[in-house]
Amino acid sequence: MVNLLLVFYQWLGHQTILAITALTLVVRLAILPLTLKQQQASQRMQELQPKLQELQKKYAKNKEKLAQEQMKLYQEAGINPMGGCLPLLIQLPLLYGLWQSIVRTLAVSPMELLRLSRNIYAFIPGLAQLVPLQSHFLWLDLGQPDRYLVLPALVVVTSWLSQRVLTPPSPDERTAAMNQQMQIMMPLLFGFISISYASGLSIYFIISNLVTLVQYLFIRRQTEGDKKGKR
Amino acid sequence: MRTWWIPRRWAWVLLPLLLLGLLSGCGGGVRPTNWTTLAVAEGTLYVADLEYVRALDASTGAERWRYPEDGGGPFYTVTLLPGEALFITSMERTGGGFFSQPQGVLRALSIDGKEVLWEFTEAKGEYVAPGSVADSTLVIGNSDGNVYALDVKTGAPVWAEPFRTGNRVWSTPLILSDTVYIASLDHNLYALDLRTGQERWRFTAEGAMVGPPLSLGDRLYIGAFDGRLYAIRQSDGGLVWSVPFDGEYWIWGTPATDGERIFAADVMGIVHAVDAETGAELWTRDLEEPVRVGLSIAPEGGYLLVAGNAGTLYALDPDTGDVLWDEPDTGQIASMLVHGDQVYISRVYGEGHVQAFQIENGRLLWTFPPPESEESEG
Repeated sequence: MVNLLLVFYQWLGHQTILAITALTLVVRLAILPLTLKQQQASQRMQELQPKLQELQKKYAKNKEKLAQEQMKLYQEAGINPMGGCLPLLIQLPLLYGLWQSIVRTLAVSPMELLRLSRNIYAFIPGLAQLVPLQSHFLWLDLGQPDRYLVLPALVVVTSWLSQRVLTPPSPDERTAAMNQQMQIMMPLLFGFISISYASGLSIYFIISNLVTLVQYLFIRRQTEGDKKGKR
Repeated sequence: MRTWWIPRRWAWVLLPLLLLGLLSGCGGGVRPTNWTTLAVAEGTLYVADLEYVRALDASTGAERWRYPEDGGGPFYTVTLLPGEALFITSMERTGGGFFSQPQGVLRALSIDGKEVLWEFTEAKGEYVAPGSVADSTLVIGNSDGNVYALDVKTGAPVWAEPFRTGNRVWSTPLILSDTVYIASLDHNLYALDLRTGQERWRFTAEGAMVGPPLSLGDRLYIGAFDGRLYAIRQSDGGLVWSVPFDGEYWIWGTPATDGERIFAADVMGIVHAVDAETGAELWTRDLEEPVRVGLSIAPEGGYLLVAGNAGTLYALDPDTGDVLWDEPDTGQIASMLVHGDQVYISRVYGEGHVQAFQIENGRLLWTFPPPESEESEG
């Protein structure tokens, strides 16, 4: 992934922001089938909400029966209630690789830069000479956190929005409460990372979140189109 | 009725705090991002040893003092003005609470380690390499891309404004007469006026440069990330010659010379000897271990000392490149310093933070901390 980032940097006129954007888009494209599946599952869960609430009212005093009926409903609708987690877990190593490649190529720390020296493909001419990437953009040093906190604020807002659209609603109060906590916790976590680490990472978070939101809007439009078609 | 072992409204506050704590490395001690450095004078070895700056007896390794008494830092570099002061750098959060970011702090410490003479906190990035002192001026580069010149007595800036480069400055400056030569990761080697900071010339390589240049006669020698060793005229920055090494791997550390030959190593561990006049290759030796630290020649000649990044210290024959002795150990070698008939090294991640070896035979003279005291501390 480091080499891909360097190739983009070479192709895109030595513009680090453009190289990070291009690499983020390529990685997001690679994991598109997984994220689409995750978002579709979330969308379908949302559609099942009225029925799930009905079941909750009906079996309020019989938890066991409620669980059975809920599972039956999921099976009929072809939904795995945990289906949203698996794609997320598969994405994590890829996203970690992307993160590492940004941190290393920006020469955030000397030790990271030295580690990078062994990961650059010698058969692609000129790549080793590109390091470290040009790190100045507007007021930012992409290898340092944003001192004016503009990027961390954008990261928190876009993370919150993407968490909101990614998290399927749950009929179970406890699960819903946990989801709510996650919707607050994850943006805070990403915000903290943005405050503490290279702002090149914040660029990656923001673009990644925007892609999630665009995907969500696309799926929602498609679902609404399908509904109208059925009517 | 649901039961919660902690009030529900606190759960979403505590969970992120726990994760934030884990991310920020609570309880993990100092995790280095850079390498520690050494300086020696008048029988005392000074070392930036992450949590402390220590003064050790150069002949025994016994600790004379440490700063601060209760730990701090992390401290990475020391620059020595013999008999007067020690300039130490660290990365610290300097106020601003939760939103504060670590920044480079430069302090002047009295030579006995008892008093902080002044503090400089204007630089925004990390100090990666020690500075150099000449004419009562300390010159030092910073990761914020600037080169700073400060009065050694007061810490006041000597230049009207710091010299700005296009990328991080991880190189120790070389000061000759009234000129500062300093490399930047922006691919340039700059020659600056020591008194004003005005640029006299710049030499642009194909790759970034980290190590300080080596001076020999009227030339400067420096390696770059394009895998080339450059010979440059000191007077105007003109290129005399450049040689590409096989594989074109990064050259990180400063070259060494015995007056006739230039020795340089790349990060893949290949040591090269070339003719200083023409750049013609004389020999190569593959140590199969990355080499980042600059090479050194023993004062009496006869030994080319190479510090491997995996932890081995080598002495090579400068005539042939043959390994005369090697001392394998664990822990990256962070810096190497040749003084008299001894070579000192500092390590990160290793058990012995500082070690002294006899150059002649590679015999270990002492280790700091000594194994017993480490056990009693632990």
